[in-house]
Amino acid sequence: MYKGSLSTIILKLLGEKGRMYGYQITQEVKAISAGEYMITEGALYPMLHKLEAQGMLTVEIEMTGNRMRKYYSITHNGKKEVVDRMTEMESFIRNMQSLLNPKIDMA
Amino acid sequence: MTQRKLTSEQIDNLFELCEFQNVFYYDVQIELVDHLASAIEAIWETNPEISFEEAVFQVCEQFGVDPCFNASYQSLLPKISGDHFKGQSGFEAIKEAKEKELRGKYDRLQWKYIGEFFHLPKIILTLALTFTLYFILRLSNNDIMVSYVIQCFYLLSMAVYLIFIYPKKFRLTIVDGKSFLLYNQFKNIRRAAIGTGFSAYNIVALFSKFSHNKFFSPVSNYITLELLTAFLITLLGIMIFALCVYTPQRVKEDFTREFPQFVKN
Repeated sequence: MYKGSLSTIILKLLGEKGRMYGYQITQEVKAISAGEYMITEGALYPMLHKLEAQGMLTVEIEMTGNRMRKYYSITHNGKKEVVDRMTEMESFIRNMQSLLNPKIDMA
Repeated sequence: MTQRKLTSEQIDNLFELCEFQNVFYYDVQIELVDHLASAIEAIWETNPEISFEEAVFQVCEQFGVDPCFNASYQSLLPKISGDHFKGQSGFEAIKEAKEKELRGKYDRLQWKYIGEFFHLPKIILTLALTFTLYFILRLSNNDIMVSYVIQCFYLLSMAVYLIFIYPKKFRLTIVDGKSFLLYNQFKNIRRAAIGTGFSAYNIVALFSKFSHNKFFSPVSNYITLELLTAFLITLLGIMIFALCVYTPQRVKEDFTREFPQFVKN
């Protein structure tokens, strides 16, 4: 997996869907990638806590039924970061494509 | 057909499971319990007949957590291989990662705040304090008594603040006396403040000894030494202020914003 892609996926997802909770994120990624990608709990939560500590995400705790739920939302800094990361990732993919499928100049 | 949901007793059972896995902080438990509960309810969506115990077992397997602390899960034991849950549990790894992130967050905030004292406008205060101290040292003509008075004042005020003022200033009454990882930062910061305070005292005491040592006086330049001492005392003062006042204040703000329902007024 491309380095930093987990945090980019989380930020992008939260940017698009608004606030989400941990389990929902794992299921959303699974659904979007048609089961191709699975985020493990052991990777997801440390990453969410890291992004929260870096000020990219903010949290709210609410009662849902008979239990509490922690929701994550993207902050202004997080939104800026996701734009930078998407640009970086797009250029990485473009470069990889041109490296792996070089166009042969026949002229 | 209504979707099968977890009962309050089953939720309590999941909190017990967290404690059994050495996750005692309520702020970490909330998230893990909700994840386990959501995953169990998802299992029930496709297979409503499955027992709670078996569903817990399946979900714990994904986390790398051993759920067999509860006698009712023992019957499921033969289904797993011996090596399955060896080593650190998935819960503990999550808790440790969160501890590390929190420490890092407040360290970064603290150093950022200290850095502000070397940029406008706070640098004016840094320079003013350094030169005031320098002139006190100059005017006292390296009087050893002045040095002792400064050192005693420093140690006494640190002790009074950390023993009597700090615990009251940053005390929050938590509902049900629950333990929170974020709240625990107050204790960690106080411990760090005591450490920094004493090492700061040692450095200042060492410098004051240098200025009285005949061996150093002919070679060392008094002005440089006094200016350096004054700057060092100022820097350490800023560091201690950041550690004892600014950072715990941020922890308090973060806690009341994140967990308002757990703070008793």
